[in-house]
Amino acid sequence: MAAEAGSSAVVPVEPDVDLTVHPSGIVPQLQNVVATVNLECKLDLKNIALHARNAEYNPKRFAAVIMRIREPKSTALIFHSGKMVCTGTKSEAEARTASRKYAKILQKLSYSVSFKEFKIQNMVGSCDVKFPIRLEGLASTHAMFCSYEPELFPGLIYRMADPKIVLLIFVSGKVVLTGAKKREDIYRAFESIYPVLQTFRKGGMISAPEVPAALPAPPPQQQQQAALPMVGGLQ
Amino acid sequence: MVYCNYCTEEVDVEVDDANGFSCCVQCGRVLEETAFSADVTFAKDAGGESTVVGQFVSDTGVARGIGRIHGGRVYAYQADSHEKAQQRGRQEIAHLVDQLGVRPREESVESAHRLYKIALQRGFTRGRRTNQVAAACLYLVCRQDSKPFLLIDFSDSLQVNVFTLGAVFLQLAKLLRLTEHPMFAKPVDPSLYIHRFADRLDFGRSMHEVANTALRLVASMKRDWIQTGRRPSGICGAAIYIAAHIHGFERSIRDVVSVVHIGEHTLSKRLYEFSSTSASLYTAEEFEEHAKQIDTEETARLEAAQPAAQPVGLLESSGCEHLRMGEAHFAHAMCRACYLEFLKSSGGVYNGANPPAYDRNRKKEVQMLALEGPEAEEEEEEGADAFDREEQDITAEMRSVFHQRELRQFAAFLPSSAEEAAAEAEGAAAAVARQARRDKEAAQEARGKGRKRKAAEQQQQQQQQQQQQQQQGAAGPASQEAAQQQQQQQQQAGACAASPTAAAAAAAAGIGPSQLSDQTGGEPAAAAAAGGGAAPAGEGTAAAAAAAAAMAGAIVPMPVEQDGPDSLSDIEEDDILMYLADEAEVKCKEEIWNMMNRDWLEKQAAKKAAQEAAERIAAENAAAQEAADAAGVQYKRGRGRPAGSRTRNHRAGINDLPPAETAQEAAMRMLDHRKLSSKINYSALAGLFAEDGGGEEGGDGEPPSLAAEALEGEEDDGRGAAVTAALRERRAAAEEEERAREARQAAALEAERSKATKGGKGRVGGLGLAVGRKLGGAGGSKLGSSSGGPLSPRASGGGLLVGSRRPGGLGSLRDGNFRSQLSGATGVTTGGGGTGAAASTKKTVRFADS
Repeated sequence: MAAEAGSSAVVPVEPDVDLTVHPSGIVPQLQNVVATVNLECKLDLKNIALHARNAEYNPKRFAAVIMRIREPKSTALIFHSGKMVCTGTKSEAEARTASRKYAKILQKLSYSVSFKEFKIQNMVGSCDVKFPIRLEGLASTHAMFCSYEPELFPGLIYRMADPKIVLLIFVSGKVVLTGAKKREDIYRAFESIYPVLQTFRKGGMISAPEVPAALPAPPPQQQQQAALPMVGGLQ
Repeated sequence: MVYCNYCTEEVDVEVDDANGFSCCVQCGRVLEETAFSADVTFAKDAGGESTVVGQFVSDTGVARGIGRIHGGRVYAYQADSHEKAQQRGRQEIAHLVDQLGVRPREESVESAHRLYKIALQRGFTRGRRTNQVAAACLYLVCRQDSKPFLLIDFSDSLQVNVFTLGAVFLQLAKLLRLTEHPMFAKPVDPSLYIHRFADRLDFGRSMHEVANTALRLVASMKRDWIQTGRRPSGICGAAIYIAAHIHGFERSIRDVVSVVHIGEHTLSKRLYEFSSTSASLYTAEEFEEHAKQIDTEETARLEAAQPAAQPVGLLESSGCEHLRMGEAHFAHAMCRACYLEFLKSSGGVYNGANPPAYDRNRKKEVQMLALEGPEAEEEEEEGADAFDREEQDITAEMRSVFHQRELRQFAAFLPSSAEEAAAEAEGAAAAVARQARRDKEAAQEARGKGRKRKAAEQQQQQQQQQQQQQQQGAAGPASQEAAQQQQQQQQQAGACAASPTAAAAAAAAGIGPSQLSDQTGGEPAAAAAAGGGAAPAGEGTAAAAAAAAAMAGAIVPMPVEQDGPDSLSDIEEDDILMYLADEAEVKCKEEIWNMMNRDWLEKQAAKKAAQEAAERIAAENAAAQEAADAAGVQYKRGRGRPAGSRTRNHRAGINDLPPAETAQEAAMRMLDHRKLSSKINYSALAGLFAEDGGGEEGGDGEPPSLAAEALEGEEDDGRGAAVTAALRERRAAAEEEERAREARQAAALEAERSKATKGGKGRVGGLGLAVGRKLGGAGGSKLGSSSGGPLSPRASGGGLLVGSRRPGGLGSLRDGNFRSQLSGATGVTTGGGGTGAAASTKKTVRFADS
């Protein structure tokens, strides 16, 4: 629906995307998942560092063993208290698999680990809307949620209230979504920001060159925008 | 005449100017008593001296007593610390204002200071540098008044990182709730800075022309989307550089860079970006003309344009405050004025050139496709045989799955020709997988990398379904059933891929990771899933899929919702064993690790020892208290921090020592602990020591003076160098001592422990004195022996450190730490004996040392 609204650059709607979930036709790809788990077992970090091939432990710098595995490619921080943080995986299932593998490695090192309180703490997704976005306009119309300081950072930081997600929006049309605990949050956030981005896309203007200067009525595209859903959960 | 409430009539009032009240002449009630005057008045006191009447009220609103002036001195004029803090901020702001040349000066300082006061009040200055907070306040004011100053100018004059300052600025804006203020929501227009930069580049009379051209260039850059997401200084720099050259000023990039504060490379990049827009093709005249033309066109278009319908809901969040006040909506949730401003400041959303970053991405995409396309095809042709072989392997694998015990029961449900049917289905599945692979690659070509995985997965599913339908016609009822099952599973898998938290996550995740892992991974997984579907006709599909997926090398995670303890037993051992080191490796690694972390280990050991000591002391103290309670004597802990106190002493090194006896000693200690300033006149310093301590050396156990030693070798000229050399020597000695100390640590601790247990008992019983004497005596004797010979400074320092230079030990009680450790049960301030156990290991060692 929204994808067709654009007059110039039409985002190809992929035939295999579920348009009920992704009306924009774009599915943000997960880039990183951070999960924590409690192994409920005090760990001797030095012992772990020595007995695992894939571990590094530099107590002077950081009080945790950094362990990596290749499949699923991930990194874990293992703390003395038995808590573990697993990062770098690309999906929830992978995060879980990876965490369990780490737990298994520790089990093999004869610690009586359990696998409790597994929780996804953060998910980062990204996608490309494939049209340039005028960040200044977005910043001034969504002032409440936006922070755009080109002196400090080239992207616009959009703090969405519902779902509570932070989006980094770049002029090139790339969008990074972070702070999600659920995949659905990322999808939902993207779907609610997408129409807003459409408003400030390149060429999507009342007086865009393809629209004759003397056209009395606003182009139909504006009508479309009139029905934009509210973003940010302010209703 | 004034109305008096009590007399209920208009009455005459008696006004007492001196005391500032007025009263009714009838009833005598005071009607008003807060009369004040802003005039400065003086009154004479009894001695005939003139004094100011009243109080001085400063612009901060705080009244403070003005001091009487006695003999020209003002006293009682002290501001409180809060006021001082405010004043400090003001000074910083004023300093910045002067440095940057912000105009108008006073107003800027005033308004920035107002912000600063709020920041101070809210505790924002705590933990931040005053000058950074001041700069943030001033920058806020500059933003508010559209003054052409960038954050980087502030960071330049403060010599701090611009991002550090930026963080302070953003936090302050948040604290003052200015982030939502429309003033700050609107990004700064880069053209604001053009005049300031042009002014600094010395264009003389044609400054305005250059600036105007630069402004047009900036506008053109805005239209071509170069400016969004870029630092204003880069944009301005590029525009000014080009404008300067248009007007015949030879300014190098370096000149511009030094004015706008941006990297040379960044500026060249901006120039390059501009050069790739269509505007760069014009000559200077054409460009001006074109700019004018665009201006008129724009105006005409805007006049003709009708206001758009207002978007729903955008109103509350809009940065346009006019809309909220009822102004008519024009476009993009802005009123006409705001929209025009947006257009001007950002270039609107016209179709200019694409932003460079956008173009880069598209180019990258095209390159990626170009790279991937032919390669994939080649691979396909070459690897056709390999695929067949792989297919056969997979088929064999799947066959073996059916023979597994847990699956055999399912096989029983199949018709007699189940195996054949299954084999047929497998064949189909393999073909499907191959087809899917081809499709996957085709899909890659079509869509680019980002969505490839998903697309391939979905296509695979579709293809498989088609193939299955074809096969349904050819194969018998058994295979039909199997195919249906397969289809179901595929659908399940598809659904799970979309929402892996769904109930059937096990099956989906089994496919997920392997597909994610690499390109070929998708094939075995899909085939395996298909195989899993072909085998069972009834329940237990998940188990089958799990087994099949495991065959394909994928990891099957436990179901998401789990109740019992997770034994992790389903993870393959081989996988894990790969990550475990063998004995030789461990040994090797341990050696390396121990070597690399030796200092940490030592520190850790020391920490542990200290903790143990502290615990012991606490226990002793508790015991002492108990004993005191039992004896009915009041227990006194003594001075210093309580035993369990976690507060560290910053000057632990110094405070371990007893107070210095002489100024010279104190000075030397200070030299030990402080960095030496370049501003110190070392020859004078050396002279100081020579006069004071040099002569007495060795006489009564005074340490040999540093300066004396320095003077021995060198004459007047080289004093400074001599001192440095001596210091260096001392430091080397200190290091040596440190090393020796560490070596002795364990032994000392051991000795101390036994001593402490003795002492602990003894002190309660009044034996502490003896121990103290003993120790003190030991220290003294060492000094005695050492006093004659030419000691190295540090060696004598060692004696000093012990604090036992004063024989007997009672003298050392001046140190609070020492006393704090003593048992108060006896009420006797005994010698330093208790200290050994009480003090940190460091001190302990020193005692043992002596």
